[in-house]
Amino acid sequence: MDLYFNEAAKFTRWVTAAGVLQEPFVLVDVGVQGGEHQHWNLLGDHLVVHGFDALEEAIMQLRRQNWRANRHYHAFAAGKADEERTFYFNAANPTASSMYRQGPSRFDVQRREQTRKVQVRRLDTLFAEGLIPRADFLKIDVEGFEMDVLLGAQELIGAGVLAVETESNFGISASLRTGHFSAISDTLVDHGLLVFDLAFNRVPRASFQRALVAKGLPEASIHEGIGKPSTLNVLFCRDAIQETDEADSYPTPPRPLSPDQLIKLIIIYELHGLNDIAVDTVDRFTTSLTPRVDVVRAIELLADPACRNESLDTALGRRVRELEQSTSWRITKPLRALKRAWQKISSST
Amino acid sequence: MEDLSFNSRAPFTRWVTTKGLLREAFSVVDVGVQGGASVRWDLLDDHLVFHGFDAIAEVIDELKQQNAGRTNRHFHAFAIGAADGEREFYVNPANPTASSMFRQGGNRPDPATEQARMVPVRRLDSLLAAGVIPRCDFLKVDVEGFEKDVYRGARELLQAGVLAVETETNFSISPEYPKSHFATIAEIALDHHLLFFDLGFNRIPRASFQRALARRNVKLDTGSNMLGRPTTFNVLFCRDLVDEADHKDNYATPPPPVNVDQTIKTMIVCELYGLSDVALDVAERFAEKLGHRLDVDHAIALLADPQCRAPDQIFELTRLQRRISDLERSTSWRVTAPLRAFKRLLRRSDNGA
Repeated sequence: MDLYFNEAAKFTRWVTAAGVLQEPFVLVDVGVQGGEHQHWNLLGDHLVVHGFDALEEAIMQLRRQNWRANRHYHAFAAGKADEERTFYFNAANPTASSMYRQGPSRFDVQRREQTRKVQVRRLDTLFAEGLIPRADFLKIDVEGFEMDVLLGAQELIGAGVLAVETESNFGISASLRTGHFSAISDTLVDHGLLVFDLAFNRVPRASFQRALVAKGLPEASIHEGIGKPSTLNVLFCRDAIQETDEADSYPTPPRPLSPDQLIKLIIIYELHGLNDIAVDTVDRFTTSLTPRVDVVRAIELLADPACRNESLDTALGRRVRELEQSTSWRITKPLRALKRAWQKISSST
Repeated sequence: MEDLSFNSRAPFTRWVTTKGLLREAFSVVDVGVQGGASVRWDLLDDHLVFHGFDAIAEVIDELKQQNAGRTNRHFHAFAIGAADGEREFYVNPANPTASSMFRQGGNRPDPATEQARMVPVRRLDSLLAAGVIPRCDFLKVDVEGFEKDVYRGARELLQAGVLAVETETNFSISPEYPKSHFATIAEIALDHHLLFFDLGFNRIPRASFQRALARRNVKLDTGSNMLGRPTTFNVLFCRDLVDEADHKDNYATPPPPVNVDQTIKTMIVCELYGLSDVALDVAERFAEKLGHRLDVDHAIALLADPQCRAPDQIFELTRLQRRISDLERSTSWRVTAPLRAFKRLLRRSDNGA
C-alpha cells in the first residue's frame, strides 16, 4: 500500500529547474527490488540514489536498466551487523523474500522458499567507509528486518536524514515484544523523526475466506478492505516548526537544519501531498529562506488544493475502468488464466 | 473525526444476545461520554451495563434525562484521572468536545476561547474498589490528551479482565508524551495484553495553507478528510485470543485465561467493529471450547459476512491507486505495449491524412 504521491509537485519542479537547490538530494533505498519510486525522478540531476537489495539478480537488472551516473545499486542486505546471513528467497513472490523463514500463518500466503547466503552490511559501516554519502531520505522495505536496518544506521540517520519511509506492521513477535511499529517509532523519535503519514492494507484471515467459499460466496479480495490493518507504509519526517517552536517536546534537540535541508524537507512534504505543511514551513522560516527562495512564489506554488486531489476518486475510478476495458487487457485474459493455473499447479506441488 | 467501523448488521451478536448464549452482562466503561453511548452497544440490549463519565456536569445531566428509564445505563459527573481529587478543567464553549484538562494554545490551529472550572477527578480503580463500577469488558477513552492519566488510574481495572479498549490518540510528541501519545498508550495496552486491532483517523490542513488558498479565493472543504497530516486517531486495542494460544512466546507475561463468555464477548467486539474475519477465526480456533455453549458451525456461517465493513473513502482511493499500479505493471499490459504504440501510430497517420 503506497503512500500518496503528488505528481504535480510544482514547487519541486521549480526549485530543481531553477537551481534553487544547491546540494544533491541523496536517497538510500533499502529493499530496492523493482527500482526506486518514480516520484524521485522529479528531482532530475539533483538525485543521487544508493539502492540495496539482498537479491543479486534484482540488482543486476537495475544496473542494466539504470545506466545513469548518479544511480548506484549494491547487492548487499543492510542489517545491524556486518556478516553473512541466510536469506529466504520466495520464488513465488520475490518481493516477499526475507531474512526470516515464514512460519504457519492465519492468512493464505503463497510461498516457495529457497535459502541462500547473502552479505549483510551496516549502513553505518558503508557511511564510515565513504561508500554512501550523508543521506536525506531513507526508504526501508525488507519484510520484517526493518529494525535491524535501523539499528545499523544510527550514525547515518543522526548525520541528517530528513525523512524515513518504512514498511511496518502493528504485530508483536518474540523478538519485538513491544511491536514492530512501536520499536521503529521509538528509534526514529530519538532522531526527531515523527509520523507524518501512513497507508495500509487489510488482509482477511484464511478461515474467513474458507467460510465464504463454504457459503457459496466468492473469496473477499484484498481490495475489499476486510480484516485488520496488515502492512503499513509509514512516513517519518523532521518537523522543522515543532523543533523551533516547541523544542521542549524533544528529549534531545535535533540537529539544526541548513537552508538546503529546509528546502529538501519542503520537497519531501510536497512529493507526499503534504503541501499544507510545506506552506506552513515556508511561512514559518521566511527569513532564513528568503536569501535563497522567492517565498511568495514558493507559497503560491505550494498552495495547491489539488495536492491530494479530492476528485481523484472519480479520476482513479475512470482510469481503472479504462485499463480493465482496454483491448490490451481483454486480449491477454487467456494468458492470465494460464498463469493462475500454472501458479496453482506449482503451489500444490 | 474518522470513526472506527461499525457493523450494524452484526448477525452473530444479535444471535448470541437473543438466544441467551451470552450468560454474563457485557460491561462498558466510557470515559469522555459527551454525545452519549455509541449506537453499537444498543445491539447488546439487556446484556449491556454501561457506565459513562464526563467532567462537564451539564453533559451528564442531559444524558441522564435522555436515558431515563434505562436502568442499565449510568452516567457520572466526574473526570477520570491518575489520582482522586479536584483539578482545573478548560471548557471550550465553541466546541465542547474539545474541552480538556490541558489549556489550549501554542498549537498551529487557532486557540479556542476557554473557560476554566474546577471538577472532581476519580481514579477508575477507586471506583472499581468502591463498587461504583463492575469489572469491565470494554473501556473507551476520549479525553483530549489526558488519556495517559486515565490509564494510570485504571491498572487494576485493566488487569481485572478488560478485553478491548477504544481510545483517541495521535502521533504527536510533547513533554508529557516524549515518545508520542500513541507509543505511550500502546505500551500501557500491551502491558495488559491488548494488541492493536484497528484505526480510523482524520486529516486537518494547517491554517497557513488555508489562508494562502483564501488569498486566491479558493475555499477548502476541510471536512473532506483528504488534506493534511493524519491528526486524531481512534484506535481499537483488543485481546488476540488466537495469537495468545498459538504464539505464547510473543508475550512478556502470560495473558490471563479467558472463559467461554469472555471468548464470546471478544468475538462480539470484533464483529461490531467490522472485524468479522477475526471473530470467525476465534470461533474456528476455539471450536471445541465454544461448542459446549453454541453451534459453532452456525456462528461461523453468521460471521462469514462479506459486507461486515463498508470501505471508507480513503481506503477506496488507495485501493484504486493500487489497482492502477497493478494493472500498469502487469505482464499483460507490458507485452501489449507495442500494440498500443502501433494503434497510436495508425491514428496519427489517419489524422495526418
